[in-house]
Amino acid sequence: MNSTRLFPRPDPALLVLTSLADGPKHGYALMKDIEAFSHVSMGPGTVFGCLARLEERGLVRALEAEDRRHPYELTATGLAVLHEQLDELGRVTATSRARLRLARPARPNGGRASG
Amino acid sequence: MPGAGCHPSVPALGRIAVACYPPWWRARYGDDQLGFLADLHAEGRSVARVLPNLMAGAAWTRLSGTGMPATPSAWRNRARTSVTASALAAMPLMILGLYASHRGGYWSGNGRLSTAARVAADAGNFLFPAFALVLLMLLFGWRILISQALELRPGAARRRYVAAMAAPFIAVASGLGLWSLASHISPGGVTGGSYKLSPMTHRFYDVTLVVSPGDPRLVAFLHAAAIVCGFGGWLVAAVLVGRAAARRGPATAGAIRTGVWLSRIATGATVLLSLGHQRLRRRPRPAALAPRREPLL
Repeated sequence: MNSTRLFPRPDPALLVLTSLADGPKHGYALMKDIEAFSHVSMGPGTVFGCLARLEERGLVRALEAEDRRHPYELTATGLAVLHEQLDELGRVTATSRARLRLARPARPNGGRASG
Repeated sequence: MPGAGCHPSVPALGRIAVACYPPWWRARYGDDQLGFLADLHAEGRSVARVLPNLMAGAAWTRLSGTGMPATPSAWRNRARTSVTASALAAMPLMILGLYASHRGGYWSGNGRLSTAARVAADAGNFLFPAFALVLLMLLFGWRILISQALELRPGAARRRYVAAMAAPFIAVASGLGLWSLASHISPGGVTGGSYKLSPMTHRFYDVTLVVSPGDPRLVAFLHAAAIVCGFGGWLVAAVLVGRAAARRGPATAGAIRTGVWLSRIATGATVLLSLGHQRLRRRPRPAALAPRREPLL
């Protein structure tokens, strides 16, 4: 079963914030970086829609244009929000892994289907 | 268009897609988006593949207003576009509804009406709930319209403005009156009647219905006049509110923002009302199309 159909792909805003965590980037560099680390392909409509929402909420800001492209960087608020989101995801991931470790010995045949 | 001449390497389709975004968006992100497309093109990747994403982004930006500066002028423009777009979008819906209504066979059992009369009558029936749109539109626009009127000095200009504001109301009221009159004298329509109830069985034993003989041509004319008044009033209201929204005035961004949302609700409600009205009208009419006098006991 394709799990991406069951679970929606990561939120674009989180991907953009994560991509900007290691320094300012313009739109195209953002898209390539996100493709590289998450295998999620984002079009320009999604990238700039997301940047506009984040800029409106003060999580990112545009820097001086370079070659007619504005690089974007995280603000202090954006950094705090990213930390908060990652902590939340981390709690879910840690809980899930811990429960999997607990559940594994109880499964018959090491988890393989019998018969 | 901001950024239109800055990235000559962007394919024309990409430029067109970026041009679909609202002006305030292009002023802020237009160059960035064109730069994105130029980089994509320079790396040999297909710009055509991202066009649907760009178009969807443009549609969403226009609907949601994400990133729009919160200034009254921006909201006025948005209100104007919203009203114009909803009015234009409603027109084909009306025509489609008229066609569906006529094909639905509401009048098919009445051979006394000519095709033109049936079309006019169907149109009148279909547009009746749409008349409510005028009231709703003016409901959301009244703050803007009244503020404009109060801005004017007392005199001829203000009187003309108030008369222009009242015109759609009068047109719609006239349309409703004509429509009711046409329905009343419609051939085969029941205009009155009497019955007698048995005190013993509580059943009707004598029923008399007064059926209008009607004149199909007069009915068709009245329906057509109702359509012109109602539909015309609705369009005039849309234009008035749109124009008032575009003018300078004391209306605040918050008031206009509320207006935009109310206009969306009004449009949706009108479509639902029209559909619901059509379903109700298609129910079989009671056996009232011919006078009868028969004991039921």
